Amino acid sequence: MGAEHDEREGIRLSREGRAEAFSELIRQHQRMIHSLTYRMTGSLAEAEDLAQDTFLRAWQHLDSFQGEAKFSTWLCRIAMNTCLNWRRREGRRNEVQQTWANDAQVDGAPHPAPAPASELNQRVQAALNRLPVKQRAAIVLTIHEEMNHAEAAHALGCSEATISWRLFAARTKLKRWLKTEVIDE
Amino acid sequence: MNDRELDRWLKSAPVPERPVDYWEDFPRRVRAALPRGPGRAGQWEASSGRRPIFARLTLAASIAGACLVIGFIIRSWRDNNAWLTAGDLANARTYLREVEALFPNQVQAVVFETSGPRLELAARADVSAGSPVLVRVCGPDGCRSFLTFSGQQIPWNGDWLDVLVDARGRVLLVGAKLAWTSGEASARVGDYRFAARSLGTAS
Repeated sequence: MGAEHDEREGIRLSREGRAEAFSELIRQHQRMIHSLTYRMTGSLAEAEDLAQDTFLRAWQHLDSFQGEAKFSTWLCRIAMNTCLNWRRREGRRNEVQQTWANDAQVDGAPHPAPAPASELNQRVQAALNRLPVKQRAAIVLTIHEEMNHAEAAHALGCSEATISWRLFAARTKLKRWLKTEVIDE
Repeated sequence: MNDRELDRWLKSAPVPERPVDYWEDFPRRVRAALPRGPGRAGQWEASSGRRPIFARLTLAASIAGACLVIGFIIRSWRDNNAWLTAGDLANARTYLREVEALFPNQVQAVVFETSGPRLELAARADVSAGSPVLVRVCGPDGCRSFLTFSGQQIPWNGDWLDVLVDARGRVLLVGAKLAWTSGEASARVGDYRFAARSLGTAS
């Protein structure tokens, strides 16, 4: 209740142009948004840029937040749209896949090396990166961000049936790919 | 591998951790990139006399979209299969491409129930590729949709219905207790309601 009240107050102050209040909102949601943009891109550097774009857009369009959904869901929707636009704009899907397929050489120059992930985990992320972007989005929101279908549908601007559909298609592919990986091992 | 195991695997793939400084610095960097000026509200008020071109485009797109939706609703209303929407058909086509790519010549049907989609595969990849069809059946127990092919069978009320597509693209459902075609004026048969559409040629 207190956290919700604080968030509403933060949104109200941000709408008035109080950047410090918006910084607090960023602090509350930055990890979730980074996690989402990372899973959508498979790249730390891209994830950082897209997270930054997400918050900039949120700031610019804060007036359109009506409070019908949770603020976090609204942010996720912006982040997802930002990621989907980035995909379209850059057409980097194959490149990123290639990067992941070669190894998990996470673009670490400005950042410290990530915590070592097991080979299996890298394969899981690589399999995720192979999915069509909308199916990946459905997986990221429902499995990783633990949204229910209604929230995911709101975040992606589609129906719950479409979410259900994309999840089923994504799961079928992932099971097939990961099963092959395990058998190959 | 079941869904639960898959979910566990997916969740086990970690997001690389970043140092504490990064999280402290990130809000500052975003704040530095915020548009400068008298404040967010002030900027919007200042520009409200002339709405940004993006807003105008959005408005125009919304109106165009609304016209399309209204047109589609009117068209669908006149159609016998009004409750099988263009979205359903588009989704079905997309889905068909996906499952056919995964299991070529093996898909007998995809059944959509309230519990979620279920894939029915033949033991061998020898399912002949008839015209794909989307069939929806609603009855006392709720609705089920079948994405299947001409020549396959679907279960109905303890019976099996042959799904066939005629030369004019109409879908026929034929069983021991029922013969129905999508060309009929009424989609109701007893307590059941049917809708069916051919999705065109097999991919």
